[in-house]
Amino acid sequence: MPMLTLILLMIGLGIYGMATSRHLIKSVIFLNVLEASVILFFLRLFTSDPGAVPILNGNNGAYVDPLPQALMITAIVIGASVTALTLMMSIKLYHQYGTLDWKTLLEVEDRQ
Amino acid sequence: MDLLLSILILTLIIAMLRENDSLRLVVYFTGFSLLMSALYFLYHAYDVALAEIAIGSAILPLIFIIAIGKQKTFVVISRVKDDFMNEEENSPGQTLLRGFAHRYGLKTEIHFEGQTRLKGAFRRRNADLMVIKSRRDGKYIFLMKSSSVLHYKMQRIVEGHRNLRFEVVEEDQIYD
Repeated sequence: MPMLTLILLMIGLGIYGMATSRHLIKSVIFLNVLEASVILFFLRLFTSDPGAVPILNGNNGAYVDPLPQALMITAIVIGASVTALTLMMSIKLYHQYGTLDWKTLLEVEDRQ
Repeated sequence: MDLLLSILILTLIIAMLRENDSLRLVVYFTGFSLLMSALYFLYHAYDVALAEIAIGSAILPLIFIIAIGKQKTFVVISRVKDDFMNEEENSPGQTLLRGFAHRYGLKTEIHFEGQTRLKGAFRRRNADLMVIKSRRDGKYIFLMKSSSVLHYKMQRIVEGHRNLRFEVVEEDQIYD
């Protein structure tokens, strides 16, 4: 139960951080926090409490489900590539407008 | 164990919320990734923990630091304001400096100040290059810090121009 509280708090703080941060790099970091919380949620959901590693060695049945784990590895890798893409775009934005402040960027967009 | 890790993770997230410096944010994020992989380990997801350590605390901070490093500006302080170097973007001095900064992917920022004290101006204003005019022979002098990586490249460019001279100074040297 404390783990579900942590997951909910992490989702809330992740969205709050993404929405309120002025700097683009900070938003990207909170996107990563949000992603980590989703991964934790999936792993928590499919873990039976006296679980064991899913390796066949005569353990009587109480295995952790290996399928969500395999999916979550994919999610981590995709999250890393999304982050790399976002940072690449941030470099382009910086060279175009000279700032990474959300407020200034939106003002520049309004003026055009 | 769960509870301890949860409290540490929440503390790190709140520290990230209150931090505004990008590089420090990246360091906090590295610690956050390590704690998250410890949590994955507790849920018997050893392969996920391994991937998270490799990606979250080695590759991602590297990408972040490279991206932050690309967002630097090349600050020029000019005491000269004549037909070599003025506020027009196509004056010869500005063309030279902007072309130089553009080649290394930097954004140029040029300030014109007649009365800047030269002592400590590099550290105080975080300048990369200063332009002054020599009283003796009328040449324009480009001053750069000796700690700057780019000063070898700038020196090579300046050597091709007859009305320019290049000098390297220490960071808080008196110079006038």
